[in-house]
Formats: sequence, C-alpha cells, structure tokens
Amino acid sequence: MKELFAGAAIAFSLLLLFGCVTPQERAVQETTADSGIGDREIEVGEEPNDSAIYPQGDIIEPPEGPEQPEPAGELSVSDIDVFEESDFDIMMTEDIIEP
Amino acid sequence: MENKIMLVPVMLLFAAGVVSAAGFEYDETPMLMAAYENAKCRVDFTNDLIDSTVEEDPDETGLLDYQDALNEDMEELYGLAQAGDRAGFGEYMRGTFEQNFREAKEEMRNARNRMREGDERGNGKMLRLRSEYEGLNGTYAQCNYNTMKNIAQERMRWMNQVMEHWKNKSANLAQKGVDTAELDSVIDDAEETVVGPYANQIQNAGDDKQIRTAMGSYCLGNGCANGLNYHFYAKAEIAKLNGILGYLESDAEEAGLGGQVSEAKGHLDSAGDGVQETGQNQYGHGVSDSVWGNLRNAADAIRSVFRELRGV
Repeated sequence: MKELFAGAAIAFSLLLLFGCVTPQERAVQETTADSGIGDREIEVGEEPNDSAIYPQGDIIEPPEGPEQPEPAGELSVSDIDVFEESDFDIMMTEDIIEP
Repeated sequence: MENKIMLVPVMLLFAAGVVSAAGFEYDETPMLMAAYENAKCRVDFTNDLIDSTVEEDPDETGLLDYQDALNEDMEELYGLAQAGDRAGFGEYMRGTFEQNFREAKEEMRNARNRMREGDERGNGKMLRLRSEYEGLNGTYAQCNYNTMKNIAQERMRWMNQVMEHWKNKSANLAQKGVDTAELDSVIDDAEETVVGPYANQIQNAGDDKQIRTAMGSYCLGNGCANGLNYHFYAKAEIAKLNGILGYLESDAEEAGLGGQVSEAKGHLDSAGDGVQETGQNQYGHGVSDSVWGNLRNAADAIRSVFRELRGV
C-alpha cells in the first residue's frame, strides 16, 4: 500500500513539473533549458486567439479631410499657372407671389 | 439587377460633383443642392397657391400648366445640382427658371383679377384665398429661412476651403524658396476683410433678409453688385507671380533673360493697376478681361523664363 502511495505521489509530482504547462510556456522552458536563465525575459510567445477577435483585411478609408499641403520640392511649371475663379451666382432673385 | 443598373448613373453624378476649380478640388454639389432646396420652397409655395386658386375657381385650370413648367424646371435644376454643374445651374436659374417663375406669377395675378370681378357677387372666394395665403406664406417663410441659412453656411465652407487652398499653396512655395510675404498678406487681409465679417453676419442673422444681405455684402471675387468685392483671386495670383518672379529674377538677369522679366513685371503691374482702380467695386466694362489677360500674359512670360533657366 505504501508503495502504491509513493508511486502516486511521484506521478503527481512529475505531472506538476512537466504536465501542466501551456505550449507557450513549454517553448519558453525549452529555450531556457537550451540557453540558460535570463532568456525568459527575452522570449516573446504569440498570444493565441487575439487576432481572431478582429476582422482581417482592409477597412473603408476615412474621407478626405482638408486639403493636404503638396510635397515640397523644386519650383515647377504648374506653380506658375493662373486660374480665373468667380463667386457663386446661383441664387434666384428675391421674388414670390404677393398676397 | 435593376438596382445595379440604376446605381451606375447615380455614382457618375456624384463623381462629377467633385470638380476642379481654381486649381483645387471642391465639391460644389452641397452648395448647389442648398440653392435647389431654396428654389423648391418658392415653387412649392407657388404650386400650393395655384392649387387653392383652381380649387376655388375651376375655370382657372390653365394655371396648372405653369405648375408643370416649374416642376420640370425643378427636375432640371436637381440634375444640374447633383452633377455639380455650377455654371449650368446658374445659367438655368437665371434664364429658364426665373422666366417661368415670373410668368406663373403674372398669370396668377391675372387669375386673381378675374376672380375679384366675379367675387363682387359676394361668394367669398377672395377672402378664403387670402386666408389660405397667410397659412401657406408661414410655411414658405420658415422653409426659405432654413434653406437660406444652409446656402450661407455652404458658402462659408467654400470660402474657408479657398483660404485653406491658398495657405497650402503659399506654404508650398515658401518651402521651395519663394518669398510669400505678399501672398500671405493678401490671404490675411481677405480673412479679416471678407471671411471673418461674413461669418459674423451669418451667425447673427435673425431672418432670411439679414442672411441675404450678408451674402450680398461680402464677396471674395467679383460677385457682389451692392457689396464688397475683394477680388481675391486676382490679388492672390498677382502676389504669387510677383514672388515667383522675384525668386527667378537674378538667375534670369544673369542668363540674359532680363527682357522677359521686365515684360512679366509690366503685365503684373498692369493687372495690379486694374484691381487697384476697381477697389471694392465690381469690375468696370472690360477691366476684368484686362486684369486676367495681363495675369495670363505674365504667367506665360514667367513660364518661358523658367523653362529657359531649367531647360524643361
């Protein structure tokens, strides 16, 4: 009976030592075993699942805001162009049917 | 399938609304739609008055033809507004639509006169029409105020975009080594003289008449018959070209291109004189053509100098 309890205790200890670890922790442990203590601070395991929370791919771009400055460079011919512009003349005259 | 077929022309109309004017992209559709909505207030009011008149006197069904003409005009104006066709919209508004509106108004006056004569028998038609008019006029007044305010705000947005465009242009030229002090001064002055006071008046306008007054009082260009015309576009182009000419001048002199520099300066001075003489009024006969002709000639001369110097 004593042998049975001792065997179970050893098996439980081994399970605690090697069995209850995540794949990431195992990777860290393996690396640590290979290259010595301290690497635990350097290794970065990819967090599972997070990427699945967000939809992948492109999103609709924001609408164009106020005009952005043109990239600076050398003076160009287009800088010299002139544009004749006018005010909006789109209103109808003030005129309704009288009472 | 039918929906997809309809979608294509609609998308094309919206794309056409983003136009290139004065060298910058500005979507004129919201401004034109605001003007369309304002015109619609008047047409709805007129149509309602025609309906009430015909209801009182079925002999006046001829008035319905004027309704049809106005409704067709509104369809046309809607299409032009959606297409962002400012020139087409203004032309149709001033020409066809206002003409049809005047005719409807005139025919309404004639119909009332006929009804008034018949009303002498005391059947109360005119009293009922007057009462209906008051109710419809209240609806129209509110519609007119709301849509005028939209037009005024869209005009404000447009003015701000013009200023933004020129500030960017100035910053860009300064980065290229051009002295932009004169251009910056024109921009600052336009903001102080036109944009700021206009925004202030619009904000404090309590009725449609005050909005209309503000819109007729401050113009960046040459559009105010009875208000301040800043002639910003001409002043800004003159200032810009002066800066560019100054930047090229010494190299041009060294390269033996002094004659073209003098020619450009002469055109810029003449353009400046035209603007100066005009002051805050609208251009006199032929002055606008002279100012912009000189500006284009100055630009041609500067472009020629630039190409010679850079070998482009």
